[in-house]
Amino acid sequence: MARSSTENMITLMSSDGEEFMVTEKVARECTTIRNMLEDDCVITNIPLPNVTSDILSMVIEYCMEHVAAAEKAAAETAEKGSSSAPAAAKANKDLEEWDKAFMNVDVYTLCDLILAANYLNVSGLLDLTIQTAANLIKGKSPEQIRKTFHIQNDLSLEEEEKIRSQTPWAFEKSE
Amino acid sequence: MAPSKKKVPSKNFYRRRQHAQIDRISKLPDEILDKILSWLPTKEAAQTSIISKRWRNLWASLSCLNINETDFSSGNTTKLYAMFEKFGNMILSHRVISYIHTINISFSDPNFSDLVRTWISPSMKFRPRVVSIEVHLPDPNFFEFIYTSASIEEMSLKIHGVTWSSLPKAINLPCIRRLSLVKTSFDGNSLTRLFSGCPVLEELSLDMCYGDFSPIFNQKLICLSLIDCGHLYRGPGMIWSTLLSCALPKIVNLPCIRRVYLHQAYLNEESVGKFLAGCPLLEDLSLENCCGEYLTLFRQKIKKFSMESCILGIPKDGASWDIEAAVIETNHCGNTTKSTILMNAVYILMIIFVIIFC
Repeated sequence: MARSSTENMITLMSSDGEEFMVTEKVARECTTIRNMLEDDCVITNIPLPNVTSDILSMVIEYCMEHVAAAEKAAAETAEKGSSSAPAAAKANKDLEEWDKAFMNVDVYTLCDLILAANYLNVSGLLDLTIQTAANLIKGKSPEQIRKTFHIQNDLSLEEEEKIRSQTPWAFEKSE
Repeated sequence: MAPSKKKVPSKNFYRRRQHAQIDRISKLPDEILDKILSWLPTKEAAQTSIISKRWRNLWASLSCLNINETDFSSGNTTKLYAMFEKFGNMILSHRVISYIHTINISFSDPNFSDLVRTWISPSMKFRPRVVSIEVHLPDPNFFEFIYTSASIEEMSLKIHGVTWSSLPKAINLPCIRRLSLVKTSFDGNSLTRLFSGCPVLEELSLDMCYGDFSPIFNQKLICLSLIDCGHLYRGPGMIWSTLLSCALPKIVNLPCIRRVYLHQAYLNEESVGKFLAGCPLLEDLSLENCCGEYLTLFRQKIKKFSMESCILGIPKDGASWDIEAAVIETNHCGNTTKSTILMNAVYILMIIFVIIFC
């Protein structure tokens, strides 16, 4: 089963018309595409009007890396007859490191990646990007968050005071 | 360790960097911002309300509440109490949507137990699906109200302090799939009562629970964990343990079970044989800190078997494993009978010590 599906190639087309050839296995990492393939198994060309080429190439890169890691782990288990815990732990750690390096992007790209992961339904990538965004917010003051994400403060001083007085517990300084 | 394949930014990627000064995050749909804010403690999520107009009301419709004692680590308990009370009322009265997906609450201070109860009870009307509560129990019936929620799919109850929780008479959790209980006492039929109240339960984890787990009948259960579940009996003002290691339930019928994890269980040939006979589809068996006699696993369908820090007796007649396992892991396992007895003695002393000082 694995043989035939790895050799099937699928063309993904980004919103700006660029085409990406990927194996079916990589494409199946995206639940949205997997569902399309299951509905219509002869489909080979999938237009993705919501994703630009630069973001799509990153999503594909993520899927390829994760498919490769899973295949490597499966091959090792099959070869030795048993998997050794330290090797599996190391492989996991490597993949985590890779994810971390992959998330070294600016906030604009990060937001686009979140949208793409959400649209294509790549759950691993969606969790990774959402968590990265949350970590950028965590422990920061509202002013620092504005700076990080280039947000304009359009609240007047009075409005801000009003919100603060409505939720005083949120703004209490911990000692 | 460096990743095997370095990420090489494409030309497009650099072109994009020039747009980086644009506020992109505020243009994301509510649903995604909600997911981001759900990763934060609710106090921090509420602070985002003064970022801009776009962010003002986002937190009030959060689908995930994370409330932790440490978020309110300011000043004395009275002040803390008042603050948490305001906070709880605020969240419940300010909500613009009538639905909460996840509630995570963690308080180890006994002063907050009642507040947690008065707060969680009304929040059940928001039909949460995932509930995780960590609290210092004032009485064994503390959690009674939570066992009749029609919406909960996953629940984890953790308990601080020395009070053991008891299962209520009426259990009705029609949607629950995963349940994890810590420090809950089981009497003769409470396990049966639990299973009949949770018709679609698939994963059950019992940690430091005591009582009678036999008979254990369930047609749907897929995953079972028994962690430090000894037969503990309550003495006057104290909890005595007669057998520290968990004895396996004697009457077992789990036709769908796939995974079993046993921590600190006492195993002997007879009990393991009976247990496994009741689990015909078992695929994944993990043992940790278990002691007892040498295991004989004959003609089992087990595909994955792991043992960690187990001390098992020497095989009597060269008995060995005959299982379909593709993966067998054994780490830090010994096999002397003397050390088994010694280990048990050490555990008994430790537990008695802990109980006295609690």
